[in-house]
Amino acid sequence: MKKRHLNALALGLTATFASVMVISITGASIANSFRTNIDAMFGTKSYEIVEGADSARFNKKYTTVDEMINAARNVAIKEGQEGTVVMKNDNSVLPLAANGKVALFGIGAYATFPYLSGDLRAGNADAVDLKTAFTNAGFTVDAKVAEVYEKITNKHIETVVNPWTGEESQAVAYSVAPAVSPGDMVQFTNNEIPAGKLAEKAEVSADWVNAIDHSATAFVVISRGAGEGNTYSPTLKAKDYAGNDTNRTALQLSEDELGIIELAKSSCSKVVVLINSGNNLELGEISKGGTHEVDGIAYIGCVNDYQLTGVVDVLSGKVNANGKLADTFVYDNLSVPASRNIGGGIFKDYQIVAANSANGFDSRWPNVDIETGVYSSFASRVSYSSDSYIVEAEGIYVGYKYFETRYYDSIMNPSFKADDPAGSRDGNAWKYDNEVLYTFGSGLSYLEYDQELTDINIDKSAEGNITAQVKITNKGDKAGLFTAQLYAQQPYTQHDKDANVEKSAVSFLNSAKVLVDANTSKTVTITVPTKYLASYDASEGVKTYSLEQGDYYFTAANGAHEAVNSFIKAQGKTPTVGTGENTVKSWNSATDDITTFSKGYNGYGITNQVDNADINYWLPGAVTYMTRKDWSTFPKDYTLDANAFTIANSAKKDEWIKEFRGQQYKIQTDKPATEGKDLGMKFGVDSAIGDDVLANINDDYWSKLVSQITIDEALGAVLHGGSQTDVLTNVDNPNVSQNEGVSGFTAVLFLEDGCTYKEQTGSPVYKFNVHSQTLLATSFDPELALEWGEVEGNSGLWLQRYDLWGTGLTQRRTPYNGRNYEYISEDSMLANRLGAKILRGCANYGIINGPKHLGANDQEFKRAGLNEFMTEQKLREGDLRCFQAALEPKDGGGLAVMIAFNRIGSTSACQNVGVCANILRNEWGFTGIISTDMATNSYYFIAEAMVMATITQVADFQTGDNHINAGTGGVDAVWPYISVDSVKNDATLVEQARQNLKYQLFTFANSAVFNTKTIKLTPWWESSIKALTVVSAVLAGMGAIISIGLTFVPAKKED
Amino acid sequence: MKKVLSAGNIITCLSCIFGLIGLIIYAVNVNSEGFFRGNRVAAVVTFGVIAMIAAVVVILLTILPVKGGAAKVVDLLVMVCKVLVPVMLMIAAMTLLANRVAGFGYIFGANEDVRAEVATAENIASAMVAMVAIGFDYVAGIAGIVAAFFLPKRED
Repeated sequence: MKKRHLNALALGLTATFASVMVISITGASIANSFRTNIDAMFGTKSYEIVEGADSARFNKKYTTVDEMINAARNVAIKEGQEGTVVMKNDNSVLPLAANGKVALFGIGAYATFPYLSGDLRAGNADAVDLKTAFTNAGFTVDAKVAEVYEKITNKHIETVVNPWTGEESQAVAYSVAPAVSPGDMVQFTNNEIPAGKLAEKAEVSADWVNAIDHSATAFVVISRGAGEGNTYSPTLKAKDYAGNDTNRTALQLSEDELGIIELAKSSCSKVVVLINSGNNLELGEISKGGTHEVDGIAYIGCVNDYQLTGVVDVLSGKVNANGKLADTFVYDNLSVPASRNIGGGIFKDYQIVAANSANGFDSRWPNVDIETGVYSSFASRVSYSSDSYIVEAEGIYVGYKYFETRYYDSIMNPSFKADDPAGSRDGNAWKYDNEVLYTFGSGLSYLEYDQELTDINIDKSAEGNITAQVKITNKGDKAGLFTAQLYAQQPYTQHDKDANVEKSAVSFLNSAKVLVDANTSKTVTITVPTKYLASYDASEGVKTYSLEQGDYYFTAANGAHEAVNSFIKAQGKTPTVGTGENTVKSWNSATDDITTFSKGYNGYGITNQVDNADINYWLPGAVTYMTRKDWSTFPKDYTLDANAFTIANSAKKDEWIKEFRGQQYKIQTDKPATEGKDLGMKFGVDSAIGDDVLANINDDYWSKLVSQITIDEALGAVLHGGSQTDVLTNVDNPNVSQNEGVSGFTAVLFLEDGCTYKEQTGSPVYKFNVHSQTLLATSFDPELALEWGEVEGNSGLWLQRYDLWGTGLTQRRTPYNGRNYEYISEDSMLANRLGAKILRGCANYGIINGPKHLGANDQEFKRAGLNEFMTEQKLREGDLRCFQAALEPKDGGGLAVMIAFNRIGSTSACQNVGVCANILRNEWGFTGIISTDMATNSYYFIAEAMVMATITQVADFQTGDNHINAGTGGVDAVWPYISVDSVKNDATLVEQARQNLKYQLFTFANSAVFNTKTIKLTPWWESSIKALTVVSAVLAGMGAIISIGLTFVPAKKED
Repeated sequence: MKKVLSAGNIITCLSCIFGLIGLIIYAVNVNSEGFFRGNRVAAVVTFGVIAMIAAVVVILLTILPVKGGAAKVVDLLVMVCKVLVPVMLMIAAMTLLANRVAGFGYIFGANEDVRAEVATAENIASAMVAMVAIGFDYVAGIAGIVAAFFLPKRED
């Protein structure tokens, strides 16, 4: 009996303590959600802000401003050293003999683009121009040539007025210089002064050339400007310096430039042409066999304050030439397939989209006539901006992927009709060497070297990497920098042909820079995520990333052509142009894998998101995208009126018109939203937010925080949040200003003794926007990109500015885009790898750096509304891939992005839920700020559609106002159909706006905006719950053991 | 009859009944107008049902005529289920409380502005019903604990 009672007692206690244990475990979870309230109730603290020297999460790497400035200067010089590409080097013209003589020709030599300080150029007092760089390196610069050009260019100081602020300042100016802005698909003016006019313009005697030192090596700088709102016309002939029409297009060398080159050839012993441009020039005339062939050609990109020091280091041989071209240079830019579709065709029946009495008015703007023309992105018009389009019929075949794949097929796949005249520049059978001058990844080295792929490992898991070992052997007599490049070839299968999945015959994966001593070898490891080896297959039954069955080939090579030749050789055939016998390793994928890479962040299923970006979705059969299985499908020009599309012919006409008008989302009226109320949660920079909350946007803290935002401010802060984010009433967040630009912060650091940041007029200043994106690109050096990112980040900490649009990653689709100098390459992986490092460098110091312009900003012309039709594979493997690594949390960790102006298909990029929400946020796991580009047209930038696409701020440049702007009758002044009354019964819209602000606040909290460190404390109530859990668990366990033991122990027999 | 009507079984039965009442009231809570309408918490049903099944198992096993080694096994199962009943009910109660407590805060404890909007008669009623459901789950759990102190007598 006693045993049974004991057993019952033990069991009862077990049940008691087990119940207490579960209560304390679940109670701890409840308590954690209400930690702040419980702390307030008991007067305890769970987090403490660290005070004193260790109080910042993000600390400056440089302790003095001199160190900071030196770091900026040094990285800029390295860009020059690593980014200068020697394209041609004959007659031993380079490297220059030490302390020799040089003569600098061309207006670009004295006003090297960009030469005006502003967004692109810092213009610091210690900036180095080309003449100074040569002089500093010990060379003698021909005084006569310099005198002539300095008189012509006439560098001087002028008073300039800031067009945005009206502020006056003193700035450097030139009387004659390369055109800064080529214009937007207009006739370009080439300001080069012809050789025969130099004497007159410089007011020197006509025989001045006799005074030139013939022993000097001539450097002729050919420059092309660029900028926002500029697009080079592929076909319009340029004007000369005097305004006369020429027979040359903007990206061809003008007769005057060729004349200067001939002058240099006749005056000097040897001639090197320096290409100072972010847009690819046609260089056939000065290359090997050209009518104006020169000894050397070097690419120097668009420079800044210090890069020319590095450039001269390469020209002088102090640094081995190690830069590589980030784009393919061709004889004729029109032979680039994308060039066939640039500018914009007009839909035949574009008027069908207009809102008027004939078509019906738009209910959002009753009785308002809304037209359809696409105008300047800076103009505010009553227009849907819908009438223009281009078809990106080239698909994935941008740049070298076209030229090298077609070349490969000309040898390996004769049935693919690679020699078809379609696309050939002279109308004859297509031949590689008749089209391509200098390929992607090519660049000469002074030192002879080999690169060999010695080992490769493919980790086929979803988070796995391709790891390659590349051995560089320096066969030269001194140490030098070299660039290792890794390339791959994917199998092009029958399924691909059937399903229109395109595969390039060669794809760049990643690169590395390595310093190798003379006559030695060094092995460098190159890694790249395996997922980039998969292709996007949008076909029925797949609709995700696919790593197909078959053989994959890898090699290390000096450029895409050497790589593809190596593949050809390894596959048993003989290359017909150039050489390439590098080691090739192969790897076989035994099965078709459409599973491993079909999931994104947190397992989000990857599937088609932009089916309607393909014109064939709207008009089946309208376009034949170029396919390598038949190279005669080289794109036709769909911008011609004869090929224009008719909207009314679409079976999906009504759906299509909705896309044009931005009517993807209709404001609901039957689901009341909850009004935000002050719950006492504040987000000041002195608030303590624990690390666990900072790391998890899904923590309850964030939802509660934004639930306080009123309906008025939720919509208002998103729709009017550009230029700076303002304070939300119930949240009390900090005010954060945005900054430019792609060369670094344009803000000025005012220096004084002690080097602190104070605004004092007249004091010495420094500007940190010293970067050259073009030279970083041609460096092919991810570690240099990281170094620049960290310098950019640190400069933000010094300037106390934490948010900027600080790099550009859009794919360079054609040579004509005026923004190419802000971007990296025609190749999406080079942009992917370098972009990730730039943003990681900034994020390491808490700087919110938003790359521009995600969503295929392929031309400036008509960007504010241009319909860009493309396949999903092209978008994903092209432009989006350029940004992907930069914005994924585990890679670049970027905290912001700016969306392109244009449409993806017919859906505005910033209203594209498939791209902004599903791909960017869900697939990539991006939780940062998404901003539109400048929103001047409220009939194109549609408020509710932008909110639903998870935009966190619309760039309308209003300040000090987070509200639905008061227009007449309390409606928004920009979108009059938006008011508190009109949106308060759409809980979906309001909650999405709050969610978008959650991304914004979460990003600020994880940046230097919120630069405090907190430590976690354990208040007594938390300790008590933990203790209760442990004690009750132990006691429950003991009770269970006793009870079980008593059950199985035989009872004592009673005597 | 004596075995079925043992104190332990009666209290276990009460625990099961209170748990069932708690589930019914929870179902009313999610289907009635008010603050918690549609706010389903699957775990409440899952754990509540497990608890009730365990309670029924306890009663059935108690009246099962077994002897010797089989009896030991049955006794062990009964013990496990006797512990499971209150633990499952406590989890159900705490899960429902965790889900509803924020709403209770808005309705009863927030500032005037919030309460003015949220503390409607409907919402207060909804909160009260939720509290009653939670209460029944706790009471059922406590009953389960008490029942655990009673072991079935086995006739030798």
